Amino acid sequence: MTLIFSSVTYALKAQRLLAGHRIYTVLSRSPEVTAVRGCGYGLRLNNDAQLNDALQLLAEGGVKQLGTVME
Amino acid sequence: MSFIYLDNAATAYPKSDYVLGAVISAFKQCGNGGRGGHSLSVKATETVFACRVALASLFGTEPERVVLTCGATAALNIAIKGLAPERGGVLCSVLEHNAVLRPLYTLEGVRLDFFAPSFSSQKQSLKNAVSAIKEDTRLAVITAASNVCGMRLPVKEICAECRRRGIVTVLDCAQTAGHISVDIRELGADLICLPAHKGLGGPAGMGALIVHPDSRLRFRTLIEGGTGEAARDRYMPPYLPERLEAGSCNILGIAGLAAACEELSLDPEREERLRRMTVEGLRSLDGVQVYGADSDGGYAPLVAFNITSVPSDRATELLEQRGILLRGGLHCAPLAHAALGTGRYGCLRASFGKSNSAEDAEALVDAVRALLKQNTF
Repeated sequence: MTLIFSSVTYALKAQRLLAGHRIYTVLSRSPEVTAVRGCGYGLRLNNDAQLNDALQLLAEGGVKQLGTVME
Repeated sequence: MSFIYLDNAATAYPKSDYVLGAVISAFKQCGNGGRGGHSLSVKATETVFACRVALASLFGTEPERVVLTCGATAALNIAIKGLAPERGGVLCSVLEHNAVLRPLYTLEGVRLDFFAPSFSSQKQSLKNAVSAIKEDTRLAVITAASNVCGMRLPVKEICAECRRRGIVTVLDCAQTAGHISVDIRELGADLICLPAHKGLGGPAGMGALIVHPDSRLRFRTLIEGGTGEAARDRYMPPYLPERLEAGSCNILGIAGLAAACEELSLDPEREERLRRMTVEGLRSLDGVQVYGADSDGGYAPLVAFNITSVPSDRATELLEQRGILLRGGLHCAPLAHAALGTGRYGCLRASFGKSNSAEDAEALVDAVRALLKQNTF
């Protein structure tokens, strides 16, 4: 599962926030993100089961994500 | 020949090996930041983000509100031209550097409302600034400290007055960043502009525009181009920092700036001691005039002075022969010199940095004393 952000800056901010809560991700430039945004970065979750926790943390941290895509 | 470097207001010297190491590492290890998914590009992307995090932490904002630029001048141009009102006034002081004045002079249909700060009283400076604000003043662009005499302006108070009136505030922190604590939330400014290579000790050719964390300002863009993202969009993205960062970034400068922020340690008391020692030492000499050094509002670590009857550029040559490197002339701030009474030949400027000691300040005073004694100008 990959989270999509408006920019790589927000993606890295999210990555840092999530890592602080032991949710680990990989910065990716996936075809799915490109299809949606016309180039862009996403964060691929190492463990898809953490998706809901990740979304909640991002919402609480004020880091807006644009959606999620399956890879 | 060994020398004593007292031109840190122009650029810090020497730069640290740590900063150099970061630049070299980026040169060898980084691809193009934000432009790809391979390891070298990701390394660069992470380096850029680390720099934003470091600057955000130092200057009191969020990483996405750090716009990386090719210097303070670029940051000021982006701020001024990106936010310039179509009509009304722009408040600024007569101490501004040409990095502020020249972009302002290009604005059409806008009136410039100058104020002259007091060289002794911050309260009076604030009063003068407030008096210059008109009902239709929309923007204020003000230096935090003069690059000629070092005098700090009451920018926190001016920002508060502007905020009450809905005036956008931009601070030129070229001479304070890296010397004193500069926190945009504490200052209450909308934007601050800073260079990497002066007080921060980073590489030349880098700077930043710091945007207040609560700001909702919308910038016009000065430069458009690739951002590595949202390529199908015809226009630059609406969000920061990418809106204001078209084109490949200066990854070497960014890596160096991040390293400089990491190792920065503020010591304003030490620098103020050096400044005061120098002022007192120079004032003890007959034939030397010190300018603008008696304000009650604090200083960036620099001293403006002249050896009476010697044009400043000639005096810098004579001092270099004695191993002292400093700068003469008008320092790109013609109105400041006019206000100080040095508009024709400018003045000498001694400016201190991390590497300077009390011995350096004494050496300057001794060198000036020796020149006066020699009296062969």
